[in-house]
Amino acid sequence: MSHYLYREYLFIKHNLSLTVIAIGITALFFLLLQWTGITNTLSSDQFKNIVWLFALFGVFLTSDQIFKEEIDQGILVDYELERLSFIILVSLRILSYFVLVILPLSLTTTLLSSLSTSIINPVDLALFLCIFFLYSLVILTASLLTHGSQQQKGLVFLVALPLIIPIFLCQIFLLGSQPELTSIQKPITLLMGLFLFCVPCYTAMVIFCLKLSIKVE
Amino acid sequence: MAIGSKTGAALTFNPIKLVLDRAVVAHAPIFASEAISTTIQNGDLIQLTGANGVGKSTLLKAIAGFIPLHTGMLLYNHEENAQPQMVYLGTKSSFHQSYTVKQQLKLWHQTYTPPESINYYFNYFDLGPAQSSPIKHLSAGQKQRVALAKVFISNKSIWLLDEPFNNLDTSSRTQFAEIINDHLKKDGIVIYTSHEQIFGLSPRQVNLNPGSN
Repeated sequence: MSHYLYREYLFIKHNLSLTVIAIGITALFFLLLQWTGITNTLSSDQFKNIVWLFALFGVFLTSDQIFKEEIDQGILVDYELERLSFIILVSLRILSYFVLVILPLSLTTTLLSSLSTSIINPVDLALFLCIFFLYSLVILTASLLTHGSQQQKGLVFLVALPLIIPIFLCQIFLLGSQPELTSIQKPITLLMGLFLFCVPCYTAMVIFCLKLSIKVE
Repeated sequence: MAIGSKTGAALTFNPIKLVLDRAVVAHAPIFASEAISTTIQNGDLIQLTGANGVGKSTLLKAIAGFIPLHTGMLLYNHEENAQPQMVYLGTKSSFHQSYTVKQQLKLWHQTYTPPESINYYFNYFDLGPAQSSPIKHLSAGQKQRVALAKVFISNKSIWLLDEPFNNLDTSSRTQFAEIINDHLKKDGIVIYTSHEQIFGLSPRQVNLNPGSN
């Protein structure tokens, strides 16, 4: 088990730039928004929605890097031959990405979106964590599928579109209904349902795509 | 710089019999090789030869189990779907370019858990001076040396090597040939592709010809 953990330690150590990219893009867009003065004309809900959309760019640009080096350098072949557990590998790698990008990005987005109201809402943090996490799984799956099909990176977004639809619909429902709620019970229950469906499905797809990459290579 | 100064600890591997029975590989529907039949056992050194594009690397991948044979059978100890212990060194580097040599070797050491300490491999492959350098900063020959270290650390009975002597200087080739001979003495099997004869190695050549399609 120690080599699984050491592998993730090295992944985090050598990919700190992903955190910088994700947060940097969000902060840059936010500053641009402030500079243009548009923020003064937006309601707090509109402001929050724009901020998380910016943060989503950070997720899009970083989540396709999660297994990129393994595919580009032919390292997956070793995993297959050594019969390493792809379930453990993928789960730990997703967890590493969560710690590396999703958590700091969600905190940043929550802080930025609270600037208009001066109130830090823990429900926002929970929603951002869940939504960014689910989107990163979608983009990861899409990027692996396209790596598997001769590395046509331009296809990522086309492949991602149908995968995004269920999450997007749930997200609209969650974000739309959230202001009317008096407690965090309902969105958390809904997100748990979404997680129970999406996380195992997308994790299984990631494992399938990794194995597909080995065959295509 | 030369690889190795002493041989590894004496180990022997379990009996292995690998049979290729009228095996044909195809890396596209129209590029298929001629059928090959051969038996490979402990201590065998096999050199796959043939023109470019005839399917040498594809055959190695098929033996590794990454892709199926086009037709024919591949049997390990009389079983068709058995998976013996093997390590594969392809034309891709199979290591993280941003990691340092020390980090990469430590990762392999933890993964394969060989009997010797990690310092043994640094000395053996003369990688000590470069151990703090990111692999992407090494020369092509040093990178190949790191890749060969993986094969050695893996402690597997069957080595599948795709053009393993590329980028190595004459001295390193001779030393790697010694490492291969040591592995054969321990009842290991080495199957490699190469267009040239390496001094110090006496392989049995298996020549691949293009099929008639």
